[in-house]
Amino acid sequence: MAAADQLPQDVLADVLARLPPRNLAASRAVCREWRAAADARCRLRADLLPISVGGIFVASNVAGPPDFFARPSTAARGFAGGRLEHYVVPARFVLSDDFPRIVDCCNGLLLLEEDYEDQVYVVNPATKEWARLPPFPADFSEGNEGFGSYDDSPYLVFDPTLSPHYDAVVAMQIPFDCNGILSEGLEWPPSLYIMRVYSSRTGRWEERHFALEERFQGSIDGVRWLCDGRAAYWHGALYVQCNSHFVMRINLSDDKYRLIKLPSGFNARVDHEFYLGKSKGGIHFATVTNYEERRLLIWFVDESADRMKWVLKRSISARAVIQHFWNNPHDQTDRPWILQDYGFDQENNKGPNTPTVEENLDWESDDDGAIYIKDCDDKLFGTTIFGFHPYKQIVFLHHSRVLAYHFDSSKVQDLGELDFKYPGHKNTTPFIYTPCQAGELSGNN
Amino acid sequence: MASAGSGDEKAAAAAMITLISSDNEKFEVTEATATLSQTIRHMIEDGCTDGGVPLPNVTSKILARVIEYCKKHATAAAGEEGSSSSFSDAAFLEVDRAFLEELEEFDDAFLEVDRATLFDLILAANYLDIKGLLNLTCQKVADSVKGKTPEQIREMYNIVNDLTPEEEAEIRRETQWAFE
Repeated sequence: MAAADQLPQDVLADVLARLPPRNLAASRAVCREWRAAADARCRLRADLLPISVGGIFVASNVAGPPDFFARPSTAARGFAGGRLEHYVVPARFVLSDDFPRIVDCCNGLLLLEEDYEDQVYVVNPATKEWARLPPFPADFSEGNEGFGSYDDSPYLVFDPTLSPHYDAVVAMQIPFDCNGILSEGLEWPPSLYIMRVYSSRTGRWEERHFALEERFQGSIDGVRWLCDGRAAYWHGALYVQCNSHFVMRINLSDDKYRLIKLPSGFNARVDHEFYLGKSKGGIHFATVTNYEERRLLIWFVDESADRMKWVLKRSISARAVIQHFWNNPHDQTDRPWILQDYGFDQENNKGPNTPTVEENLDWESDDDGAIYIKDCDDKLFGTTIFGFHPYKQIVFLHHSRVLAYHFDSSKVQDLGELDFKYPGHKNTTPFIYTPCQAGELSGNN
Repeated sequence: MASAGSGDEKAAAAAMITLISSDNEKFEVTEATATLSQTIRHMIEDGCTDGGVPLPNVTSKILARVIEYCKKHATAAAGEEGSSSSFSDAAFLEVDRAFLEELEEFDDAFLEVDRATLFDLILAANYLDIKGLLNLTCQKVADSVKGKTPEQIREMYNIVNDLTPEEEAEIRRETQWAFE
């Protein structure tokens, strides 16, 4: 039988050049010949992929375009892409108050929604490319009866390590009101969940029926609708925190869905600070408990052996994480992240002779002033979870300063002070942004 | 080939090429079919195809499959050319789409072979320089690797891992994001 190593190297290189980055990386670990063939034609450009954090977009419910919080050197590298309002339908939105809101962010792409015009945009800030999604076709069904309408914002699905295409998913609102009342005569979870899915591959919306994967055995007692549930995408499935008790795992490759009960240590009635996201190795959930202890709890979903089980990774006092850089100003970073203001673009466009702000650009490359912390019993109110680093065990927290907490080793880095333009953090939504410079945005305007 | 006959038949006969496989089997094909191979096209241009073209790297079994592919694609190309002059634009597009669909179906069925045959087809397509066939077969192999771990790929293609544990660890460290 002919074996792979009988293929001439140029042919093997031709085969491997067709693979997306994730599979190309796996091919390099097969044997020496494959590694050589993989490197011969198509050096893996991991630097173009969204695997490091370039900054944090801070969307506000108050009018106006989102802010971008980043280290100036990172933003100057072009990763910030300047301010969105300068290139996303600029004629309509420059310095305008009704700039579309960021509603989701996935592996370097942003999803923007314009409330009044019902328009949805996908934007890649690293390349300044953007696309407008078409409206729903008129002949779509009403979806699941009694579930309301498809008014909710879409979730974005994008993984450039596997495909240059992106999807957007709109699920109907779950038929619970905020008091936990399920409308009479309705079944939840439904055995068939009808969702609308846009694919940039086809350029069209499709109505898809997702079947409940296994018989639902839980209880829906006390389940309430939550307005600020997040979504995350990992290994072909979209995870949506759909209500106070459950995460919905939507498998886009086989049109099935299942429910995962949120960790029992989380109580939506009292724990108002929570975050579902993708971090190293899978889907994570973090909360700051609101009663008694004020502790930061972090779990991940163990999906081995097909059982979806939450495993507690870390439990620590929120104060322990925050207090060191509060109490020790001289330890605070001397290369702080800052909000990139309106003047930033002009700064950035001065030309090739502009001196670079600093040479050491990547805050992730070293520990950058990280200090190890110990747990304590003291309480602290008002800590916000900003999100997870998608490829490192880091959770970003905000408490007047933004901190990167490494929850594997329990060390903390100070990123800088962040004062919101508008008081009250409930009005702002942070999006951890990982710049993606690989490929072209499909449907680019 | 028959040497007697009408002028037309002679012209057709003149446009025939004989390919000889490694196990000495002879295949008569039209020039249109044979010239999908750049290698053979160059030989024809150089006028060195008299007495047949020996292909010592290709067995009769594989050569038969390669010819099957070339015949289909040569016919499709000829059909497309013919249609462009005799149909309106809309009709042309319609015919064009039908051809493409039929070709796609043919290609899919053509690739339903065992792995050894697939590799032999790649080697033949590479040697004969048939772009379309090489593209098709390479894509098939690439698709088979998608979503697989290095261990699964080794098992699938009987590959011995000659990387040292240190080298392998280094590769995984460099591209940690791809291994979770």
